[in-house]
Amino acid sequence: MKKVQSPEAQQPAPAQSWIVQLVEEAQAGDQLAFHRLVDHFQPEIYRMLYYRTRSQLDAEDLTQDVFLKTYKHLARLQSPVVFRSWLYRIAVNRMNDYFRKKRFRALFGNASVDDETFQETEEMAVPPQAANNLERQEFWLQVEKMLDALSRMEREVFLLRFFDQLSLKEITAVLGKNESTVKTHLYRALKKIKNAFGDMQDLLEGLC
Amino acid sequence: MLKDNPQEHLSDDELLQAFVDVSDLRAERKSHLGQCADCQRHMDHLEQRFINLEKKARQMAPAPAQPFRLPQKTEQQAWWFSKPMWAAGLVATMVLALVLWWPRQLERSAHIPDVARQHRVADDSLFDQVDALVDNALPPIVQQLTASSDLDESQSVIDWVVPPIDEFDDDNSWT
Repeated sequence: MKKVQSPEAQQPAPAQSWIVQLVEEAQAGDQLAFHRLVDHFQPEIYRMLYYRTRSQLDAEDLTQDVFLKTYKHLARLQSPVVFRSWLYRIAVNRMNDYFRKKRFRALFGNASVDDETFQETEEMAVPPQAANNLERQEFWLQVEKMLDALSRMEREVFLLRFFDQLSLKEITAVLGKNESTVKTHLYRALKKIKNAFGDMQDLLEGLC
Repeated sequence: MLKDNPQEHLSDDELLQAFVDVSDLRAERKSHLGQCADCQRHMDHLEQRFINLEKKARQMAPAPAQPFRLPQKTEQQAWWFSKPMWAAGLVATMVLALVLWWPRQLERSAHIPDVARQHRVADDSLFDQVDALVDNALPPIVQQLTASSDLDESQSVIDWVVPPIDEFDDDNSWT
């Protein structure tokens, strides 16, 4: 019989030693070490921001901001082992600022009220590449439909856990919540999705 | 209280609970999950679906267009260019301080200490004496001629020394 594994066991191992070493070197002012960290983490941070903004341009800008902030405040990071969680925390904060500014602009008429829900499509961001882009659009539309039922926190926990592949411990560090709160949000999110769409396995199969 | 049937399969809610964190399941249910092939299969399928979802999301997201690189260090800018608000505040504070300080300083310079005032009175008295000596340096007759600063009197003196021409015309006694 297969042994039941805790979700923690399936998660990526805590910061590998080479990452810790690069963080320490970057903290000592080595820009090359920092650029190597960027090369390693940029794709996942970019994806993380794209999953939430659904805009290539905004995700690009936010990614640049996140790494600039990371570099500026790197000396404040006391434990290089938690670099990944810390990076995600900066990204989540930056993203919250982004949505706050969007709401502010909508409030004062600099942007349409629909701007809040407006999602830039692939066709707007890049020249159309026919079927591939349509498939993308369709996929993200389905994901959005699935996430619509969730509260802001449930949505964030769900995305961090299943899209960004963070462990529960990492999520607690990113959001500054305790583990039982994170688990409650995650459980509620799964339950709401199940209630809204019936069989979750069918829903996920349809998505994939 | 109802006792769990160890043979009973995990409910949907229990499967979700186990999926979030299997350690949160009660010991009996965890034990069942460890032994029941059906429940284990359900869990595995659910996990596999989420793994597939993550893979699909990764495929459906574009790659970053350009790698992030730290900006090149430019020539060190003066701090007031990088923090104009601070610079403006500092200038305003300095102007305010000057405005408050300057009148007091003027007032202070106008105030003459007693010692200096006494010296000044003595000096003035000495210079008065010098002026008097200078004024009385000439003999009294000359002083009478030159001391008057009255223009009419000066004119009469000039007229007496050099009589005007028309005076002769009007006075027939001279003819």
